[in-house]
Amino acid sequence: MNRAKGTRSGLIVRTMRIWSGLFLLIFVTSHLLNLSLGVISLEAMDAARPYLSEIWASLMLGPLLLSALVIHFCLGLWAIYRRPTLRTNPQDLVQLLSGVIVVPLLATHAIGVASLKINGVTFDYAAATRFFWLAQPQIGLLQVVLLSVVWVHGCAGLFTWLRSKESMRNMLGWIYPIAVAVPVLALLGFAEAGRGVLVDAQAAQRASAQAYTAPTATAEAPQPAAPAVQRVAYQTVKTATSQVIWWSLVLAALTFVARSIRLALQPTQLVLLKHGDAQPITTRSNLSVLDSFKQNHKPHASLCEGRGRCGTCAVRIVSSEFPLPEPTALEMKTLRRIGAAEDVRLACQLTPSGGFLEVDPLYPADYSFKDRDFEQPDPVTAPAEAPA
Amino acid sequence: MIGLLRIKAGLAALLLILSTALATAQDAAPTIDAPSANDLHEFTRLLADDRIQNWMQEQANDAEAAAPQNIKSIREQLAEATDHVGARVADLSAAWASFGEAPEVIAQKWRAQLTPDRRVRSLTFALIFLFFGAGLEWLSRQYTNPLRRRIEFSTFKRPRERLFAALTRTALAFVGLTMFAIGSIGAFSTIDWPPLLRTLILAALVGILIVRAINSLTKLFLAPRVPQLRLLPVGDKMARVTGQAIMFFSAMVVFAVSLIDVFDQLTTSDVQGGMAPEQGGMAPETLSVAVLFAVLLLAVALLLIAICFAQAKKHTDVLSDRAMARWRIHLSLLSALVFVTWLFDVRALMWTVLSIGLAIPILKLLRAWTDMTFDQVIADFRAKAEKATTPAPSEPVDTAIEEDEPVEPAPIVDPYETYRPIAQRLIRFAMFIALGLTLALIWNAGIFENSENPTVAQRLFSILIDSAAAVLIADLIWTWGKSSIDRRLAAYKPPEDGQAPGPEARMATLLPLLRVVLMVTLLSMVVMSVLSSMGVNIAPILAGASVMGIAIGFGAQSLVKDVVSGIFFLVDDAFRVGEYVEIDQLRGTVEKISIRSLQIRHHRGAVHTLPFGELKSMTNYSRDWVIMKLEFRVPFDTDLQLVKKIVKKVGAELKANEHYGDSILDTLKSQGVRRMEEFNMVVGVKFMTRPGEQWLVRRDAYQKVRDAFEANGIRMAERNVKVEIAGDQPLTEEERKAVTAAAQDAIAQPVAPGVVPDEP
Repeated sequence: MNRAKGTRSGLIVRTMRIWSGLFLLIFVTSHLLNLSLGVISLEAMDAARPYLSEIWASLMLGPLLLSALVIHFCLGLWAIYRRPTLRTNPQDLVQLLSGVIVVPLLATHAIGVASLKINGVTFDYAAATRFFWLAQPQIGLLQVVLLSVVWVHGCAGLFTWLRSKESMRNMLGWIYPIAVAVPVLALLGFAEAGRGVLVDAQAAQRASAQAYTAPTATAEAPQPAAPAVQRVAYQTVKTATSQVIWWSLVLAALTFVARSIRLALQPTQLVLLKHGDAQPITTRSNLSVLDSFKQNHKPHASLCEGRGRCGTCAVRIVSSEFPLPEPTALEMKTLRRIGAAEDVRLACQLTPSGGFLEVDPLYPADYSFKDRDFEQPDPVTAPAEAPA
Repeated sequence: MIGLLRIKAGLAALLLILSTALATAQDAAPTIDAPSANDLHEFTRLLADDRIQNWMQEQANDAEAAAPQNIKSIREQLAEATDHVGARVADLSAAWASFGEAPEVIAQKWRAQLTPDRRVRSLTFALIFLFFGAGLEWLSRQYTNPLRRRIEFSTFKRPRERLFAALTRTALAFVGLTMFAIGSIGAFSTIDWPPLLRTLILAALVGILIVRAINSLTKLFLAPRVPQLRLLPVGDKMARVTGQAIMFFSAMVVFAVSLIDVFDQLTTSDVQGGMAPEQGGMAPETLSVAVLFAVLLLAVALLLIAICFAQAKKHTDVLSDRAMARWRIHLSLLSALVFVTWLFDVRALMWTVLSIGLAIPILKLLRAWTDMTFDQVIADFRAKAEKATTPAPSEPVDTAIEEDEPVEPAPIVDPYETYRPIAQRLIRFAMFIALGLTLALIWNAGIFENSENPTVAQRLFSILIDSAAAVLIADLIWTWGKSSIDRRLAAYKPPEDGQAPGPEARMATLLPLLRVVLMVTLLSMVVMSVLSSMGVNIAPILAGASVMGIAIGFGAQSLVKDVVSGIFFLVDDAFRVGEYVEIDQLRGTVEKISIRSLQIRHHRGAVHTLPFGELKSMTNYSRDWVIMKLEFRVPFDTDLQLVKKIVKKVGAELKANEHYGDSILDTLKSQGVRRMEEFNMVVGVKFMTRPGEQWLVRRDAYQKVRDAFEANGIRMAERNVKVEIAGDQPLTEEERKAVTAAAQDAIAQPVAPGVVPDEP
């Protein structure tokens, strides 16, 4: 296989993944902002609905959103397939698992709303809140889970990306509170609206119990899938939903199976990795140098968690028993950006083919871009000062 | 207790003084009038009233009746406890009988209390609160992460830094935890809840919080991922397994306790949601579930202990197999005992067993930790000291020299070793105090209250705590004193033969004395305070002791005088062992200093013993420097410049001598002609040395000067007679005889012998 071509695609995949993810995150943020208006009132939510939520279902943005979701999901599965190890750091694991379960969680909500829209039923926040809190509290619960999972996944991706940008180092401190405030406010809005609905329902129940002994179910169950003009049958929606859930799960499972088959078939060599003065660690040739460090609990700087963006995991190759594989386009780009010397490689992208390898990290393990504000010599451009 | 009593007594005295002062002030102040005759009449009338008298009688009776109720005899208390256990056994059998239906009953009550919708909604709310908490915690973590990472990735050389780093790390974790608590429980408490839901959600949130807090604490000690921040001396794998076991078990305990709490509320509250009157006991169904959980917990505890010790056997070699087995049995027995005491609902006993049983291994662990810390500190210190003393062997010549004559490395005395016992005692002391307070709280002994009629347990407790505190404090002071005295003594090196002892030599005399005094004082104080806390009146003992002391003091007046003046002589640093002193007519080297007397040895071997009380003044010949003057008699025709030159050369030679050259402070130099005598000139020379070295230097100086004079043709002057004979004819035999005889007479004039210095 032509390695250069494959690695060029790696760069494309990474770019596509981040931009589709960002697009989805913007949508989620806008939707959650709409939801957080529930803190004020149901009316406020509905008033803002055309600008914050409806707009995403418009002719232009709707398909774009859907394709972004599909692309992001498939690229995520591809990333899982490519991963040599799943046990690196907890944040990655959280991001991976949340990414897998987002689609099944989302299916009910997205398909339901879409079908209602096709059927021409206005599913405003008043109806939604009644539906989620009174008629189907399980689905309401599911929405809370969905919101948490989506937001956690989005933030994990966003902040990994932002942390690898040197220019963002002073901005991060301001973005963190926003990242907490948005979902918390949205949940508050959701809960507040729900409480209002519940209080109303109780009052109505008491009133109706006094007036006549009619069953209360009709009052509090505005079945959304029962419109006047039914273009999509309720049953079809249900099957579609369950099919999406099952297929996405099957796809994820298949990815994991394929990944394990790939790992089982891949021949690996023993690698003896030496890191500064420490004892050499024994690892396999399918792991990148960074993954090997992490698996052996050797702290090593890496702000972008091994995505080849930040360049903080750079190591100087002291000696190598066998020639190392050429840097990929993705690695070259970052190496060029940080202005690295010839013998410097990115630990997260370098996968030694076997034998003995001695490397020397360029940055301390607890390095962050904030440190650049305090230090004068750049360790990358001043390699001559490295300790002998 | 005694302290409290004293404080109270002191307060009472203060109040008394204040009140008298106030009373006098009132006497002085004319604003308050004396009661009028009318008032007094009214008062006597009231006192004489039957109703008033009856009422007062009743009050008195009531007070009498109420007073003894507080005190229960041991028999009554025992009977009560037995009744309690009997009731518990009855409860247990009821629980056993209803064991089969327990799930059904609880499920039914559960259904009655909560509709499915409500359940789901409460879960939704709980999730939202959890998200709040988690979000806030995540936020705080983003700001503290750089610090945490810095702590985890840097290396700490000194144990104090390491401890500080570990504590900081835990503090950061607790900051996150607090944020979580604020976010979740804070948001939860802003909303009104039905009682059952409130218990349920609060139990869940608090449970999560407690488990996480325990986790953080475990991390403080075990630090499974960061070996250099680990406070306990265990390996990586062991730390991970133990941490997980503790985590799992605590999570189970918290879960069981909160679940039983919820069940309890479910079964004791009726359907309308109102709480049933508190009866203390649980419903049999809940009890049966609780027993089931307890059995499960016991099994899990035993299993975890087994797993942990199996791991320990594999991964650590700190403990011997025997010790390991002993600890395993200890912990297993402890779990079993706690279970049994819980089963019979003897709560106080259960907590006692638990706290004592856990205190023992914690003490051991703390001891191991102190040991480890001290070992590290000492190793660091040694490494540093060795690096400082031995320069890096850069050239092969150096190493060759070192190989030729292996230099014995000077023993590095580290300053920390002597603090080790103190640190251990301190930790033990703190531990015992904590344990005592815990036990007192468990038994509700009311050690902080000063009741008029203490119960047996209270009395026992107060005695135990007083005695323990006295013993522990005395032990602490003793260890501190002993180790600091020992440290000083260890630092003292006895002077080598022929060298003057340093000023610390007197400490070698004083410190053992001080140690004995300290021990006797502490021992008597501890005995006294223990006796007094047991209720023995120590005043007669003290009085007897003081009478004895006075008697002994009078009888041994001169002895006391000797001892006291000896102490002051030592403090004055008037003499040290090995110094040459003169006291009145006695001279000699100080050989031994005891508490009472001083022994000096004359240089001819006689030993004089002098009580300190007899010493008025003394002369010390061994201090700082000694000047010695020598004289040479040379003929009048000697070249004095040459003499000066020769003496200077000899002085330089003496100074260069490898044996005593260093001791010469001011080397030999000529002082020129000191005086003219009948037949010769007296040339004076002098030199200054350290005490004790002057004899050797003098010997060599004489020898060298004589040799040098001879080599340069300078003769020493001799007594000679010049006979001048008038005329030039030769002398006859008789005349020559007469001349010789006359000259002989002139030479044979008795010369006064010089002072023969009395010297060793």
